[in-house]
Amino acid sequence: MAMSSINNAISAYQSVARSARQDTPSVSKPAQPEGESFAGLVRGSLEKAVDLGRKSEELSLKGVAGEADLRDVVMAVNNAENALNTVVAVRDKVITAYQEILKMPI
Amino acid sequence: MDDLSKASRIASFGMKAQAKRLRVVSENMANVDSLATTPGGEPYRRKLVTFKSMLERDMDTEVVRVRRTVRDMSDFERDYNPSHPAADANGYVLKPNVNPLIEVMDMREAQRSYEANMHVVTISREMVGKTLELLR
Repeated sequence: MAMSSINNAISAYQSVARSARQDTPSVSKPAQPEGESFAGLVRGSLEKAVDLGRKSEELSLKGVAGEADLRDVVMAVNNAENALNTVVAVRDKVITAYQEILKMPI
Repeated sequence: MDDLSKASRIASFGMKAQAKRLRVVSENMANVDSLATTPGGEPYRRKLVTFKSMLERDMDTEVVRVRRTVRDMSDFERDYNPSHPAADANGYVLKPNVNPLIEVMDMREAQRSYEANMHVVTISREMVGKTLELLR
């Protein structure tokens, strides 16, 4: 976990550095697949969390209308909350690592 | 799926089953005085729920489901009340085989089981939260 987050932080740093140079990624280096970069990681997991949140919202509306089982509504909201908490916790951790690297004297 | 999420989902099945059980108990309680309308007819017959364990394929765990509600086939009580429209030739009216005391006990049991399952949800939620705390 710690190793991979550091690697992600490094790759995030690299992508920032690349965009700062204002040119397209060099041809010799293959484009990084989505999901391996930090941005991809956050986007992927966030999309999943948002998806769960949407599902829970849908179920809550149904629950208010009296169509869905109360326990299903509670479970869906709970799942969405868990997913979001996980994403936020991982993001915070990785950003902390990234900031540590930025603070490094060059 | 994470085991802790599975645990709370299994518990939610238990809560559903107990909720259904309470619904049946309330049916019995509400119909404790529901007599027949035709002479010699049958009054309300008490309902019972039966549970079964079922394999939930996407989680690969066994959850509880209500198998079906069955009728309690025990004998009805009789009351002598010749003026009632449901009275038979001898003047007796059949009463539902619902005993409120038993229903109250059933209700309590459903409540306790529901609470136990709810506790599983609370605990697993707490454990997930505590685990995430490790990242902070």
